[in-house]
Amino acid sequence: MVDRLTDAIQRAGFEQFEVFVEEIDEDSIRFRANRFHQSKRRLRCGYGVRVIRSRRIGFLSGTDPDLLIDALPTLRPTIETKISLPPGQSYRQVELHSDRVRGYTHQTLTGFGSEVIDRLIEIEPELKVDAKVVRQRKQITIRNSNGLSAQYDKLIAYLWVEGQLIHNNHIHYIYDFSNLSSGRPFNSDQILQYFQMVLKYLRREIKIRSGRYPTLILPLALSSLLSSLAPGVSGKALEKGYSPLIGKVGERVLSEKITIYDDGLMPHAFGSSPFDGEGVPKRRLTLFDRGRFLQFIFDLETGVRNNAQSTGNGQRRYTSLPSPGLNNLHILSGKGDLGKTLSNLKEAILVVGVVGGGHGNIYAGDFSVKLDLAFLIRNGEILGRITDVMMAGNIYEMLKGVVEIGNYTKDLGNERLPWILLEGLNFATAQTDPPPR
Amino acid sequence: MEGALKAIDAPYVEARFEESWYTTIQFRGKELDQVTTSVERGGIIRGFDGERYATIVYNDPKRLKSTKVLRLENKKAVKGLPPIKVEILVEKKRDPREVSIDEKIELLRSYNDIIIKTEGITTTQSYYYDHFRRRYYLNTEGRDIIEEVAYCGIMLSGIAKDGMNVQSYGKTFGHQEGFESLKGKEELAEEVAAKTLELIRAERVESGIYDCIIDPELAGVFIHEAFGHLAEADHLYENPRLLKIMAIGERIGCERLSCVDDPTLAHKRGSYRFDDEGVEGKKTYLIKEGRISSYLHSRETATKLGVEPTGNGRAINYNFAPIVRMSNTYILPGSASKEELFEKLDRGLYVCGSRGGQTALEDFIFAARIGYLIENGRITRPVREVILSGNIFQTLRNIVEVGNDLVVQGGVGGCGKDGQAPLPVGTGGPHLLIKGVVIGGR
Repeated sequence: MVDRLTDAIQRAGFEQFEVFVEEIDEDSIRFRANRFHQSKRRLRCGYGVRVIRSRRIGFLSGTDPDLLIDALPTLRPTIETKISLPPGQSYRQVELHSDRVRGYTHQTLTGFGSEVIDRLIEIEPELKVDAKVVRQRKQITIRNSNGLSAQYDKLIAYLWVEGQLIHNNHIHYIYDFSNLSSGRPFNSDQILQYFQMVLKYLRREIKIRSGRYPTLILPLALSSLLSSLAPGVSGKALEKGYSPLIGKVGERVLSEKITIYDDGLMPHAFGSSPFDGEGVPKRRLTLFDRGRFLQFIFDLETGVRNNAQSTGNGQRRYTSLPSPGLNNLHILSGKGDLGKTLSNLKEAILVVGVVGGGHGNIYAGDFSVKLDLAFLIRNGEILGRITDVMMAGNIYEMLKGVVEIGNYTKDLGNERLPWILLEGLNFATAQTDPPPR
Repeated sequence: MEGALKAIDAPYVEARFEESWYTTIQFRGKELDQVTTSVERGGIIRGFDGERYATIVYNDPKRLKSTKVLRLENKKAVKGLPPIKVEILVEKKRDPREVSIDEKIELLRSYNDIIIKTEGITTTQSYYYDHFRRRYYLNTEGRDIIEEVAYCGIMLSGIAKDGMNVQSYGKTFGHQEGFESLKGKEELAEEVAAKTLELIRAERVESGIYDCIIDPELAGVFIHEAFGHLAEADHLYENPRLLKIMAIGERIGCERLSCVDDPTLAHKRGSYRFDDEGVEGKKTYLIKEGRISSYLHSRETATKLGVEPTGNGRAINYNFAPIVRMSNTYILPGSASKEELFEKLDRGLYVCGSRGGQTALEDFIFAARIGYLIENGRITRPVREVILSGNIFQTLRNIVEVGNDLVVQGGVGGCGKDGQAPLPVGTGGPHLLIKGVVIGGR
């Protein structure tokens, strides 16, 4: 199919062209309210065709190559460009496979979900647990008129679990994620320990007053807030003049405790592969080094427009043209021990989960989220769950105020994040009475 | 299609096959940034045994033939609907494929030019999207439905930057009313430019508790996010304690508050005749005069709760199995004029537009595009970063007045749930006066 499509485009007489093919073979199992609910198999295949004539791009996509071949005569390049598609080249090997994951059957995936659910309802019989276990094989093929012909296969697997508990007519959610792609033997202990910790304090509700509190943010909540960071480092935002980081390269804009990588080669991470969506090798980039902003991310187009090279961040599906996007965001861990740090906090908020990340003014890095799961800490002890509270700030200001970083990172598939302790964040609540002493 | 039904061995099997044509166009600043056209063909087959589903998604029917037959072992009877054979086609005048790509680019360029040529605007993001879909539906009950849907819409955004302060304001419009309905919207482009400049000069709202008047666009997103999702029965049917909290007949707001979900509205963003389970859509009261009136159902949730399906089993495309979703959800208009609402608010916020929202069942959060302080009964100055949050039961009880100026909003984008986004939905309402809303800000 790819050969026939490539031949047809070649005959159409474009100066440059590229064919991007995405094939997916995925098995997933879903559990609902503690029970097996659905098994699903996806057999997908799609084609994206980019052509260039007279320095203008045209783009067409679809699932049926015959329909695309029929549509080629009507494809009229309209978007101005100066890019040259990359030549054939060799790429670094990236760990994207695990033989063990390849061998997972429906029964294996079902077994992972059942194990987690059985253990969770054993510790809390009133929990209603939904879970999803997925194993996906993806094959990407790129061919272009400059001699590039490249392909990779990758295999990912993960488990998502979400428990619902109703207490005092309030609905509480607890959720966790486990990246299973490396094929290490599945161990539900970490999920169990996390749920146990949360459940221990969930039923005690505490009100707080509005104000500024030292804040410890766990990785899942930090992930939601970081959606405000990606637009700022994008080469598109640089080109169009709206990134808050314009003119800041080399300047310290975050706490010197913060080092952030975008690592497209991280083993078994969801955003890893030898090359990006236009055949440019991926690499590990240092975006912020000890607080100092080092670089923007580019695809071919934004690279040319900013007098820079593509950084291997051309992200796409077959349905779209590439645009700059993060591969795998990695915040370097620090030295903080969670237990010790918590025990030293006089009065602080522990943020486990938030709702609404990405809904604020993300261009400026602002966020304003509702605390989905958070606890008040006083004199080193967790007092209880706080409710009806919003947390607001700006991602750049927030990361300036980091005072401690956890000594491990949580694997969230395409992010590796530690917990962070901040000197203060603003919280707003409907509570007017003084908090309990 | 008949062959596809044999891919799964179960008491009930349905097959959906879709052909879709998409166009997207985007300007960023002065430049045309994206023009894409896409033709998708794909199908989904789903079997159900009364308890469990087995599902296969495919693009290439040949690959489907080489896949082994999936079997569901329970053979429970599934409550069915009578056979039907129907074909619902889109008239030519509403089919965006009849309009040339040049005409689409030029319309978008004309709006984009208004914004980018305004002094103080750094850049723009102007987006056109159309979609024509033909869906073939067949199931083992003998329901044989072909339904076409055609949508086109535009999103206009201005971006202004002042140092580290970057602000954007956007407006979106479009339903299933054809390309012609997108013309003549120059005043919206002017509004986008003007409001972007207001925002870059505005201060962040001080966080706290405010009495708020919210405009119809935000009222629609509010009822969708805050109550609509809670009324989706897939959250409820396995959870007796939640069903008790959400009991039918329970008072949830003032008598002036009523809300419906209605896919039968003519040519709105969330309109359809049949859902993705072959069930005919209908108008459903979610709240009637302040009391919970009904939930939204798929076939499965209706069976579990012993009621008729409401025609709300929807999927964003053939990649996904249907789940319980809204269509066009809106608050019915009351009797108070906008002016009467303002007369009742001496000090508070006028909150306008929506950047979207999110819920965790009873907890909600949604972001306004812009807010205005009301002091001594008058609008004084704009504020930014107005994010509203709260507990839905408390907030619905705090709606004290309902305006008479209903608007049902469409536009580019839609609703997200369980990894399926964006689902086309309409949202709407009149101006509302709400007491004691938590606003996150500085």
